Amino acid sequence: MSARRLLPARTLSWSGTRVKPALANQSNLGRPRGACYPGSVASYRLLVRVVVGTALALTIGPSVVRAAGHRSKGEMFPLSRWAMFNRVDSEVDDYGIRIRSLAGQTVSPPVYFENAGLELSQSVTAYHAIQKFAERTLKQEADVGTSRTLVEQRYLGGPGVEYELVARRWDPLVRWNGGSFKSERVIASFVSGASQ
Amino acid sequence: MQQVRLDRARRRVVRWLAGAPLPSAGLFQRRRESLFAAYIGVRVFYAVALYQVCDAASLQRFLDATALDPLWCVRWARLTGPALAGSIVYAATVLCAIACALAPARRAARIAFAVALFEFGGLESSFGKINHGWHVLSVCAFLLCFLPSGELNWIRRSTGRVQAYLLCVWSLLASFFLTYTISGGWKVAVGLVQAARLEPNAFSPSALAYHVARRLLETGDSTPLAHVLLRHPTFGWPANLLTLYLETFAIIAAFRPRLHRPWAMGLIAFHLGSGLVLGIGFYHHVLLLGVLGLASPFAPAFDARATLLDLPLFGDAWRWLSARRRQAPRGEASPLTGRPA
Repeated sequence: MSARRLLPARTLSWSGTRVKPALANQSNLGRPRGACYPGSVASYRLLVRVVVGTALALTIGPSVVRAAGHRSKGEMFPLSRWAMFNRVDSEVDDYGIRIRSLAGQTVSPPVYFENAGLELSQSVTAYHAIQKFAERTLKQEADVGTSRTLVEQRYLGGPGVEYELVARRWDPLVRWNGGSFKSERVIASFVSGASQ
Repeated sequence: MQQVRLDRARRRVVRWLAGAPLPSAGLFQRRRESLFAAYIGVRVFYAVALYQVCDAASLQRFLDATALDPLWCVRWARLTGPALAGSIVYAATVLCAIACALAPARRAARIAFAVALFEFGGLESSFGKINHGWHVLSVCAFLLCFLPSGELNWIRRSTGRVQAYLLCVWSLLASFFLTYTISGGWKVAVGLVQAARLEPNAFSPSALAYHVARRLLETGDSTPLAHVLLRHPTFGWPANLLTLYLETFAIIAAFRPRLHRPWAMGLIAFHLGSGLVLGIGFYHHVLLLGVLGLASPFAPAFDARATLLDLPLFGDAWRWLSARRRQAPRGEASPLTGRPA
């Protein structure tokens, strides 16, 4: 510590370790020529740029990713659009998994995954995994298999489950009060663990 | 000339963002106290991070997983399989968090933790849905890599290092509050578009009821307050509008130290409320709001009047009107009261 105190301040990097003067100059981004700021001030200036850059990345980054057509739609971890509950939908379009047969037994009438009483039926992660699976199936994307394997193995609980992917349209308040879906359309049928 | 104008504009924006200035008396004493509190705060931050990452359920989830839909940052997990990848990342994150909690002054430990947490968050979000609980922690861990190294005695010997340390700690809160502002901004923007189309929107009395019904029907779940709220949708209206206000102006609150604690408390209440109503707790954020907001090293002693004057929109309007009244020549009508000054 005493050696550090003897050193001139500008030869210290912001980590407090000694650096060659030439290297110290390189690290002083944005420093006017000829100016002689101590290393700690240069580090402060660098930090200001990092903070502003991070703020810009957090704010604009996701929209840029989305505008660039990236499949993550702006949700490129750790960037996020934070667009949660921004739309108030009186009409919801989503996808559901309707189970027709479970563990060799026919389910009559068929039930949706969220009402099937499976271990992860109430998981919101499962709900989103199903949405992704359905979207990839509709777009016939290459990694639809990854989504399907995940849904079948993790959320449906293994092989032998007969189910169909259904595109649904519904009004939240109507359904909450006992109403039914406005429309249901089967996209595809599957048996877990088997090919389509 | 251009540069001077830009600097002037930047100063004006920062002055507006900062609201009513704190008293200049005792400035240096306050800075010393802030530095000490920030130093403790960093250690507590890593302790909280350790608590969050060492959740045994996470490790069990990785070990049980037979399939994964890996995010871009953990694509390599396809080679190892979820169990091995999860075990490696979990162990690395917990060990790095322990190292940071013990020696937060070591930059190597902080960088290692930031990288490990980035992978951990990526892996946690590779089960079909990106969970937003890890975003803020990851960004904070990244920003903390730029914290000046060294012990407290070494840091406080240089004004530049002290300022850099305080700026870095403030940037954690600012980036955290910024995420709320982005979220609130979307709600307001989309709400205005929907209002213009005469659709139910974020400002409608029934907005929260729509959200609750949708969310609970999506998952077939139920929450303690959902039934009450759906029977009387207007009960949730004030809370919904208050949440919009808190979220949208959160970044301005980050610039106004008097608002750090009230805003953090408001956002904690919002998370607890959404846990009771929607079943979305965001308890990771509650802890971080406690560490970075409630225990903010920059917050001065509570003063109700000054805090009210710092409120975005309302406080700003009041201060502007007060300034106009002070400037108005005697005999002219005051914009506040309408009477001659």
